[in-house]
Amino acid sequence: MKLGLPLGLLGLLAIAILLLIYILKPKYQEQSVSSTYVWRLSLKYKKAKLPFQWLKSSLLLILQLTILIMISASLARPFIVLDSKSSEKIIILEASASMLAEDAGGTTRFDRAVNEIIKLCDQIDGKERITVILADDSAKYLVRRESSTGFIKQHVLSSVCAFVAPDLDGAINLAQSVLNENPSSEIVLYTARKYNDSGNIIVKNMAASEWNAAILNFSSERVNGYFNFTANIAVYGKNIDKLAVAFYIDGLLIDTSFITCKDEKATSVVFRHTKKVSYSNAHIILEANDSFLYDNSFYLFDGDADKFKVQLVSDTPYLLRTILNVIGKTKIDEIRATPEDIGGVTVYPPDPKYSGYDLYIFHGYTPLILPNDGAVWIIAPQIHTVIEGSGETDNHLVFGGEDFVSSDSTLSAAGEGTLSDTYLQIMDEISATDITISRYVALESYGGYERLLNYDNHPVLLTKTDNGVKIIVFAFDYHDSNLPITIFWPALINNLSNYSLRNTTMNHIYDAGSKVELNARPGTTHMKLNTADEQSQQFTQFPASINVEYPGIYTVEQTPENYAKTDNFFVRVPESESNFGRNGGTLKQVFAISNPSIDSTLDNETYDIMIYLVAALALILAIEWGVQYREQY
Amino acid sequence: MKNQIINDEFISRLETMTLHMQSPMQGYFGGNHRTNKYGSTVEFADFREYMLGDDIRRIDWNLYSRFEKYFIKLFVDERQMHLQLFLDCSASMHKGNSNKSIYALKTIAAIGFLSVQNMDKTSVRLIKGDFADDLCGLITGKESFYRAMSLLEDSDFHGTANIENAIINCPGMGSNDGLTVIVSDFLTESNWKKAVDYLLYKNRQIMLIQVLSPEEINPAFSGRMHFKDSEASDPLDERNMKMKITRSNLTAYKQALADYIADIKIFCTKRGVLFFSVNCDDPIEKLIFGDLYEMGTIR
Repeated sequence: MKLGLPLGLLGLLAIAILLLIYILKPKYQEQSVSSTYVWRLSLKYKKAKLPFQWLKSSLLLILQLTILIMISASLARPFIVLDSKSSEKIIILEASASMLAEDAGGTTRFDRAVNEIIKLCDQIDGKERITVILADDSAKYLVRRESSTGFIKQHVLSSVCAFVAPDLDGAINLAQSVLNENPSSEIVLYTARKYNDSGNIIVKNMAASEWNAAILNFSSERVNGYFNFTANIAVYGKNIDKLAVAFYIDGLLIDTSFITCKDEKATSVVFRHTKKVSYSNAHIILEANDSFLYDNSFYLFDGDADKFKVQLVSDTPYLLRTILNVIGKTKIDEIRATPEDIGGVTVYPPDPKYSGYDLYIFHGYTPLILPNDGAVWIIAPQIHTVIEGSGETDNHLVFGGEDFVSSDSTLSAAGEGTLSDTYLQIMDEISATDITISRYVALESYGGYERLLNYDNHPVLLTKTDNGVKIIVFAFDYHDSNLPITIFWPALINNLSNYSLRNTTMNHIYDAGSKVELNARPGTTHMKLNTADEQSQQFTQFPASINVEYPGIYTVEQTPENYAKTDNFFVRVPESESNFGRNGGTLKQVFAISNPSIDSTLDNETYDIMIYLVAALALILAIEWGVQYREQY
Repeated sequence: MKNQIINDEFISRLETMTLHMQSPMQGYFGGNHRTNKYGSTVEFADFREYMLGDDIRRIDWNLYSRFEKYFIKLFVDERQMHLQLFLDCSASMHKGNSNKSIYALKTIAAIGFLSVQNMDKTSVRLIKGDFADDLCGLITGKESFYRAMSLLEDSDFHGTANIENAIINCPGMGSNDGLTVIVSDFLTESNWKKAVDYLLYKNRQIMLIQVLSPEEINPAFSGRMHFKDSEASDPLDERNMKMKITRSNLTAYKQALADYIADIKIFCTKRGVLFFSVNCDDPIEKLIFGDLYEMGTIR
């Protein structure tokens, strides 16, 4: 209800005057009588006090106060504003995951909201302008200040709900922009939440009696060498005494646990004693027929701890092997670089492989060919000159040079001026001037390599990326330096590992709507992404970036030159969207800036209630007159 | 205060009436009220056989000649009554409506005139506080009556009147010798019933006349009232009371008054006491020539 003349409420001041009259007027009239004897006797004849007797004695005052209040209300010209005749409507359609909850008939909240908007369009039938804002993870206009019903319906019907948290603030900002153009616009929000304070936004809650059983989180932890798995589960909108949780590892059912979920509180369930030291995938499934199934399963793909396969060709692999194991990202296959004399018998090591590994480390060994499906570290290469006509490939790995016994100079950063990003990444936390070497190979030609460290103007640490393959060349053996006994040794190997070995994706779990960067393995020319909604995308440029909208398992297939590699990651529904009962709190306020050129009052249909007020006033006046008469006579 | 009590016209009507005792009394010698004893009036009552010691002048010789026995004549004895008139001179008898006091005075005067006319002794006592003041001693004869009336005209009504103490402490009450009339509104906490019982003990005939004003019979107040009792000595007197006059309160008042009057009637009836409750706005003739005549108190 609104007031046409709020100043009319000043009439309420008369209440103070009335009360003053009651206070000031003589309460008791003095009357001299011959005797009060009979009056005193009559007190015994009065009826027993009933509850609220005071109300009866104050009835006249109450009636008079009511009359004054009603007169004031009448002066204020009250009327009821009907909400169906606004000149323009701004509709915010929430397109979040919770709007995808289905009712018993399979209709989602989003569908119901769309139907209501369509009905509204039919009602208005082009007489008013409508703006529809879709509030998914990034609010946008579907239509802006349009009056064409067909156009509006087409865009509304083609809108899609996402598995994301809604950007309502952004949507309200867009609504504010329209409101600034027409302050008399009415803003309607179709949502699935209640709000404590929605300000002047009309909230239409599309929630029916849906309920949701959700896996909020699922993780693994290595305890005493074996994996334990922990899940957080909650049920919203219902209490369940026995909810079945099935747990699988690598496709095999390991255990089924039954939990109780009440009062919308999260419950933890832990699967221990799995006797698993590694796994490819682990997942849990809730056996519940709720209104929203997209958060009823959860997958983990980090059981192999991202182990990169490393081939280490070295006669003295101990130092490198140790430090790589400490870093923990690698699984190392070792091969001797040179034949070994065992009991007078010369044992020839197997030939190194040039494919199938993520990292090839050649220590004191010059590879015949350069692998192209993984990173390559060449440490202290043998000097080798390609003999013309020998058939060996001139792979530009090492070009001439002789051993030099150095003086005791330390290394220094190569290059002048600003250090490159590569240098900064590899030499992070490492002080070059604290590294000394006693022996190195002077490289005469190193086409295309970036020099990272110098010794006496000779490059001793170089890097190059060739067709996606990252190559690191140490022109010295770390045994001929003080590196292994410095604090820089683990940092250097860790930096080199991070530089050389990159996962296809940074994480294995993403929220729907987030951006995922896909890194290709060395030598990958082609990457195929199979999405959870059974679509596929192809990539040839790397790193590739995608927005994952749909919850579920995503598979990345890479085809480096010699083998195919598959990586998986899981996209989940944001935890906030699983909570169906969550209160939206307070909506961002919108302000209608008064525009004198628009007469907003004409646009609203009003219903005058003055007649009812006056009728009630007349009735109360009659009652008050009756009470007065009764009291006096 | 000068009150004109009765006029000549009223007196002329009273002269045709006499006060009649409801029951025989002992009284005084020389009155007009018969007793059950034989006296020396001229009205023949009965014969009796002569006994030694009787006055021989009473012997009826006609009877002797007839029966040759000696019989004496007996005559009716008439005694003189002592009428005691008690008037409540408290403030309640005048404040609020002066007609009430005037009516009370008229009642005293009328009954007193009847008594005097009957050659009975009359005394008028004004109840003031705990005592009944004698107005002017015994009134016998019309001259002393008129003198008493002129004194009565000057009487004023103020303060309280304790009927119980005034009557019980009244000297010279007498016994079985007449009528006591108490004129009051009887709106008092004092135990006037005890006074009535005392008078009954004294073998007096009793008449109570309650005079009420129209305001007392049918009050017409409204709103919030602070009643000040005319006999209250100070504002904090507990007889002063505050009340919101509503219809239910007025109904309760009337019921209380009716029950009070009925209670007095029952009390009086049980004791053979005459009781009249009158409205002071009614003419005095209605009481004297109406109610009293109907009861046989006057003839």
